[in-house]
Amino acid sequence: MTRLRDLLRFQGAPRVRMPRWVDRIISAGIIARDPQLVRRQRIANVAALAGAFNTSTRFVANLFYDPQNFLLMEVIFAALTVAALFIHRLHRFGENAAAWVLTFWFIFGVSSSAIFYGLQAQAHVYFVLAGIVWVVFGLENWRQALVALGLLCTAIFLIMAFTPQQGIAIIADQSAISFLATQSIINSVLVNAAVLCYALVVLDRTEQDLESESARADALLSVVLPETVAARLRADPQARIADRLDGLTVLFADLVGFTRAAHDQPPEAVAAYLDDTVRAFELLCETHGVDKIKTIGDSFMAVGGLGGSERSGAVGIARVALAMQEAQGRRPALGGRELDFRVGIHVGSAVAGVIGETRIAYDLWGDAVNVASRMESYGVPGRIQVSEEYRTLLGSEFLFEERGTTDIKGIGCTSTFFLVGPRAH
Amino acid sequence: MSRLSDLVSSYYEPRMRLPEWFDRLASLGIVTSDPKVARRQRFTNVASYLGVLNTSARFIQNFSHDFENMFFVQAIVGFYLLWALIIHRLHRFGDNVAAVALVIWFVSGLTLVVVLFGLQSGAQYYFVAAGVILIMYGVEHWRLFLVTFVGILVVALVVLNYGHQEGVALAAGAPLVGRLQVQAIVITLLINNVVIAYALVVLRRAERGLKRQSARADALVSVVLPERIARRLRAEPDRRIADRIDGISVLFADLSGFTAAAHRLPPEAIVAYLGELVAAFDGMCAEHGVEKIKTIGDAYMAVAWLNGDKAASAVAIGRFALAMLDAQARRPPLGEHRLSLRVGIHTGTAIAGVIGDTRVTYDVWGDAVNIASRMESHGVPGRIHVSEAYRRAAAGAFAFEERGDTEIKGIGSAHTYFLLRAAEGA
Repeated sequence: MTRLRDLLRFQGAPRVRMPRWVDRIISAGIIARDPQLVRRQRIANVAALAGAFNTSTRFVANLFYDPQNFLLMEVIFAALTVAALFIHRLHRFGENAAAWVLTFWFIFGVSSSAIFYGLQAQAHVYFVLAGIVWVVFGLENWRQALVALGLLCTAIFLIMAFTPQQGIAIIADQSAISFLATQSIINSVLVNAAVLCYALVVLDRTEQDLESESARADALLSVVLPETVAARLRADPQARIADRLDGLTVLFADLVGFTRAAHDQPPEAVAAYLDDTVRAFELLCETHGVDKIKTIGDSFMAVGGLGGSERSGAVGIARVALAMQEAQGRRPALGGRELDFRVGIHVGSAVAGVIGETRIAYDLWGDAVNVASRMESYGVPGRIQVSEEYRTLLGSEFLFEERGTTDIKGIGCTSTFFLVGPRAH
Repeated sequence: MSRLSDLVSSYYEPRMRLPEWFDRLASLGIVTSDPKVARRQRFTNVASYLGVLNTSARFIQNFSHDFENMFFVQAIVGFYLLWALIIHRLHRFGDNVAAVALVIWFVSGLTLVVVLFGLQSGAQYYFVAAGVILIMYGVEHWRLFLVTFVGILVVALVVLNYGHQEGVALAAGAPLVGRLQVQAIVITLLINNVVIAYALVVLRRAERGLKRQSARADALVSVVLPERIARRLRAEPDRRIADRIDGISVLFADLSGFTAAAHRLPPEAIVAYLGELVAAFDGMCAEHGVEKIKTIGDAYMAVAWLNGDKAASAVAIGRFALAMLDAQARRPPLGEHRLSLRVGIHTGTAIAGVIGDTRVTYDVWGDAVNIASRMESHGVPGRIHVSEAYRRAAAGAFAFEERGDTEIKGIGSAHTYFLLRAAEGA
């Protein structure tokens, strides 16, 4: 059973929670509110931090290797590290300020490394990470991303065309060059994989959310309408749902004396009493395979035979009616009064459809409905009054007691019966 | 106003249509019915086609160059070409079989290129694209991806450390070397850009879809419940909603003679007639600040309760009732019957709340509702029958006609009125 209350709020896929301090570091300097922009700027922050890490480790490694020879590069690396640490402070100047500075930082850092160490050290491999521009600029700024990408490609071309294998720094040790080359490639592999994984994980999560949200909306629809009708409307939203249905069993049940009993009760108590009654009624309808149509104040309406056969609908309604009477006998009193159900049942034909734009409802109109309603209003508290047609249909399975002839408004003189219980076999 | 017909279908943004031949080519050999797996496998297919393109280009390019051992080189390239060509036929053996085969093709192929042509060829740059494998595997197979990724890292480390600048088949400083390096960098860069941009495009589509579905679900809730009630339920889903409301105006309007008129008509005509009428009333509710509660067969029930202002609520519902009569008078007949509305109004006290859990309704019940309903049932077609309490609440805004004392079931003798029209100058 789909419960409305479970559907009111969207519950997305569980998120991985990062420790607070990580979150604070990643979000440093971000003042935007748009979640997608925040996400881009956080990626820019992480990229800047990764860059600072890379240049600072280079700086330290050079200190141990040959600081004299590398002096110029040491100054550059120190400057790059400091610059990268300030990139997060640029978000306030514009959505893409940090992204642009990061792009130039990257071009300058990679180009100067390539010129300094020479192509043999493979620093230019870092340029293949240029695809990250799409992530930090965002698809919506594709023009800017393309310009940044163009700049990066130009840098690649210039570096590869004009930089000698041997750079400014004279490195005699072949293993040091080999180490630098390995480091460039492995770092690129790792960074690239991290970016792709991040993008794909976010995508996967969003698609899961999309699926569950779509399912929630569909479930909401079936809270409003019977599932068969909801399915028809989903298939063709413009379809007018209007069916003439024969062999429908309609039940009306009214809580006799409810209004009087409720008169001096607090609203919470009244609503609680009614709500409990309705929920019990809903559960009975579900158990016996009939459809609850609606509640009208303190009276309930259900119909059997919408999905299955005439007989199974009629039997289901009889069981619901008997079970309601029985359950009501065990209910506590409302405001000192014991309330009884007055039930009316009839089997016949009706038109079923969906009308309205707001507070829409699946509803029934026609003889079956009118006669069933009269059976209820002319009935007796604590009893189930049924029409002759209904008794004829179920005479072999249930016990009925003849009431005699009653003059009923809109119908005339007609003989009616009380449903007593199932026939013992 | 959210319209039901806009909400029932789970509408997705139209996506860019690829040419059919491309779609067919990309879907070759895919047998799964799970759309997400199919998407991954299409991706694997496209990657393998790019591999075919690359290898065959290499195969042709090789003829223009003089290698140490041409036959041996071309045999290997030919073998890899065939391997790439059959990747799409492997989907039937499992979700990730083709992807794994492509990964092995990729890693072993790169290693061989480094052995044949040396590190100078730049083939090792392609390793940077290893992250792309996650798209082919799918995020749910992240363990497989981790294993593969670590394996690739190990292979890359071995290749980079033990590989030589010059290869078995290509001496150092050959004219081809510079071209190969540029080619490797450019292709890796392209692959990365395409894959990242692709992932972001799909992500954006999913995010838009999510927003739309969210809005759709929320709109569906407001089709069922008034927005303020929905908000209260969202905040506290398990709290029962029941409010005693004083000075609420309740209206019932019944299409008198509807059942008789509808008797011999096709169901479509009946539902169409009622549907149009109710849709018109629904629209008028929003205009007049009146809240529809529900329809009961051919009866329409609405209430007005404007921030507890009894007089303003009574006036709003009176104007609504006049508009209803006016709208009904201009409607075509149903079959041969011209139907008129019988309206009843009362102002009093009621309890409003949400009852039930399936076919949930926001409902109002209590004395005010019962008396309003009696006003309707004891009314006159084409007229608005109101109680004394209502007349007092709406005094000054409308012209009334006294009906006198009427015997009303469940109430006894009551003094009632007909609401005629808006008062002059009101």
